Amino acid sequence: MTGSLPAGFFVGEMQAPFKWILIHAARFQGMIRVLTPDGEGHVLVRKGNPMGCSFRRGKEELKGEAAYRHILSFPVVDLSIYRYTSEEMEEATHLLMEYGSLCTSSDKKPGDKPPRADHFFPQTTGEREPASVNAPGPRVLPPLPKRKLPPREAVAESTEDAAEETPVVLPSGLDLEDLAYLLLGRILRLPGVQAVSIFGRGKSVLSIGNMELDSLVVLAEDMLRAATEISTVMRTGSFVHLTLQIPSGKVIVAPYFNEYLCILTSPGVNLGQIRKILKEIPDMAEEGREVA
Amino acid sequence: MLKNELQHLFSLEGVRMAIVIDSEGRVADEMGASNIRGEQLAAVVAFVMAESKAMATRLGQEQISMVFVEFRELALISVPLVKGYFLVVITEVGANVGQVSYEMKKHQDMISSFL
Repeated sequence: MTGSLPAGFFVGEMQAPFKWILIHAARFQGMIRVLTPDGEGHVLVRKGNPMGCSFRRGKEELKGEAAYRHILSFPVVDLSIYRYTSEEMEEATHLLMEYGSLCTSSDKKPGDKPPRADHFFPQTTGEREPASVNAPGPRVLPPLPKRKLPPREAVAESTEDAAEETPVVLPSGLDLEDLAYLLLGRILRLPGVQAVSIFGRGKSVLSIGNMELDSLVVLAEDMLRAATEISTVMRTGSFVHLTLQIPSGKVIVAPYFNEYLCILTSPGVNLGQIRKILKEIPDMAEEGREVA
Repeated sequence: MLKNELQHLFSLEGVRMAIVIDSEGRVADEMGASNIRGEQLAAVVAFVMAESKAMATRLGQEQISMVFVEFRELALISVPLVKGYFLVVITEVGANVGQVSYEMKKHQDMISSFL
């Protein structure tokens, strides 16, 4: 369908200031769907820069800079993140040009040049002349199709595809550090979560929250090692997570690529919400995975 | 009788084993599938509970409320009893863990009274 944006690969959902996501998306390319109290929009992002934007507020359609400024006016927005391949990126850029929804200078890094049409359309034949920047378009930008979270298996398959494109980039299009910040940020925003840490080999790699978890990761690793010992006496399958419940809260330990997550919560936390996020982590663990 | 209590837990859908162990990994009583060796399981679960206790102590807590370990093919739920004993239940994937843990807590005091 000519008027549709590419679906892309669903990375995840989160609540954050839009500028925050750009800061942590230096290697990301794709579409970010934005939900605000007054409407819904889309921002095409390439390497941390907004390339195009549209926003529907009731019957009003904002495009380009106006749409982007409107999204930035909210302190926090709901975001759905979709990674694009290079081909999808070109297709989306083309569509945004047609709709007059390209951004020109918003949040560009110093020295960055505005996108050039010949950059986006190396194979332009002249049949589809791009609209001028911010020119009124004849159609409104169509919404992205709503997608459900992919199962772990689907994510794992996509890992292979991504590896062919750019080996250093995750299936999400984010690098591991970006993904870690995204994930930790999402978990930390859940009500009741006090601190989150990524750890491995007895050391905290990344930690955010109200409490210092560095001193806990050695103990978390000991718990993990003990738990995985269960696999030595019976068939268990791979480790999914461990939850220690104490009167003052919960400690959750779960695999995160080749490392582990440690989450500290208050007693009333919704474990289902945390588990939902944990299930979205690409499963790189194999049967018999062991603690390093 | 302790056996009756364990029998009740074992009768819940998806439960493969219900076992009471002490902090040294000795089995007080068990009810479960014949292919699970209670003594071996008790030894490693006691290890898990000891490490969990260490974490709880580090967080300023004297007592553990529950430990839940999930694997792809099964889950383990453990709650403390009196005198350092633990009630441990092994469930299959897809078992109603909420119901099982609720029943475990409901019968916690009764099971403790037999120890």
